[in-house]
Amino acid sequence: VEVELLSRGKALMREQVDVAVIFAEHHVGLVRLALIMVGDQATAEDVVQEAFARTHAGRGRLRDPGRALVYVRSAVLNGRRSVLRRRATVFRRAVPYDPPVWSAESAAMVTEERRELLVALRKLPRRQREALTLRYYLGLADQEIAETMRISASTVRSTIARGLTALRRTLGEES
Amino acid sequence: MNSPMEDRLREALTEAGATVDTSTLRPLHGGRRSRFRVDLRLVAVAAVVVFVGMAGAVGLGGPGDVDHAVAVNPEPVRQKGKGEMAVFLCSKAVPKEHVCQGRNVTTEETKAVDALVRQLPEVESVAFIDQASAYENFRRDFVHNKALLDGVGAVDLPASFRLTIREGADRDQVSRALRGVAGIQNVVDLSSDMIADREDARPQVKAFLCGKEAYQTSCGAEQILDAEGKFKGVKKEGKAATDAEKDAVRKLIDSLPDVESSTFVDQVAAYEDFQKSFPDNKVLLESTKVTDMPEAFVLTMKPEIDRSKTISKLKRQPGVATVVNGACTADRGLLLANFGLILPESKVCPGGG
Repeated sequence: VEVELLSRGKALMREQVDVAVIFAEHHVGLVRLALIMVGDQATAEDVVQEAFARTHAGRGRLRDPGRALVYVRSAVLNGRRSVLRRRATVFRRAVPYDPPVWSAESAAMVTEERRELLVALRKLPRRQREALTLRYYLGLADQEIAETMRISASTVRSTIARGLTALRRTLGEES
Repeated sequence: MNSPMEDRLREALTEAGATVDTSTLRPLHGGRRSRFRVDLRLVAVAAVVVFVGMAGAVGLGGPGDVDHAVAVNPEPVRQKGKGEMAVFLCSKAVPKEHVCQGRNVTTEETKAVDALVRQLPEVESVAFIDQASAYENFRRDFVHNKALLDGVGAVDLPASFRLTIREGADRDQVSRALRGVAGIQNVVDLSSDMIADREDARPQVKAFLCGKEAYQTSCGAEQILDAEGKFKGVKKEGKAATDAEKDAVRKLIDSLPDVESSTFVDQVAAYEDFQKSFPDNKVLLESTKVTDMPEAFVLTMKPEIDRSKTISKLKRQPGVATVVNGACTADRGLLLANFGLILPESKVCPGGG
């Protein structure tokens, strides 16, 4: 019995480490993904930190360590909302928030055209925005996007198609 | 094919993502009661030293390798033994028959490789580049090559460890230690003879002339190919370019509007270049004679022009064995050195342009 417990403990340890390592490996990438969703680096880092902490809290539920990256990406997408909510109430902070990179006040993005596109992207419904980001930023396939967003692959396809159409309409580009 | 909107979206998102300043990134801390350490050494460091592969680096395939190397890399800027080595990890994009067996590196394997490279005495420091960062770098480095940007996605690029090697350490020992380790796709020494700095010159175009015992079909040789169309040998050798053909090539080059200047490199000069290009590679030097070197016209092209017209004209000229566009070779070298990808020329620069 002792032996069995020991090996189970080890398996559990490995699982925990998996998530931590996934976060560590993909820290910068996840912050970039979050930044695209929230607009500034400080908030983006909060989002990833939040997702990281939550993943720890709920690590028992992570059944398949092989899909940890899907899991953490979706944790980042979900973490965004709670962080934004919290940010409205918390004032004491060491790191100041910058204006979103796509806003006119920010000097981060140099190309006006791209800025406009990101502003248009912001105005889309959340699901379209997320699906478009996962496809065109991370280059994920339908199935991976489906797993990350927990929707079906066919919904991913139609969501992306609708999102692109909406962007074209907003920006007045012929399709 | 991609629509313009998709391209624009990709560019805009990449630019937004790239605004993250990795130098101020706060480390992650684990929740209320962190019971295990997060190994932040693994965190991707975005600072990639951009070595640019110029030559027909390792395994670019075909019997033209030697030509490539000489062609584009007359005087390589040598990295003084301290350049990086890149350890590319398995990605799904690698063909199934490869050691990676068509699957991504697992987290355990990544950890194991990380631990392994860190305990090598030759290694001074280690940085990790994940797929997303690799893709960002890729889009930045190949902004000039639309065919490549269209053809390669984020998932095609392998993640990698970048190793800084101690001054004077045995670099081959590092390669040997990493050979066959699970999860590793390949190891590229970014300071090898084949990789040099791109700063030195505008990449040239070289038109190699048919030599004695030419193997190229353009010289009239008949090749033996295997079932996959790979070069296996020569059934009948081709003919060397005649003096009349050489004169005609020279006249053609003088008439081409996009050529800024040209020089003729004879066998002796080509061999000198060759020696300079591979000063440390005794085996290669000893097995190569002056008479093995092809003669060539080296063309400096006017900047910022489409080279494909010039190249296709030269290719059709009798007596010309092959035409190498230094820009393409440079891109292929860069692709291998910085991104671990080996792609055929048809993908990297379709039409030779």
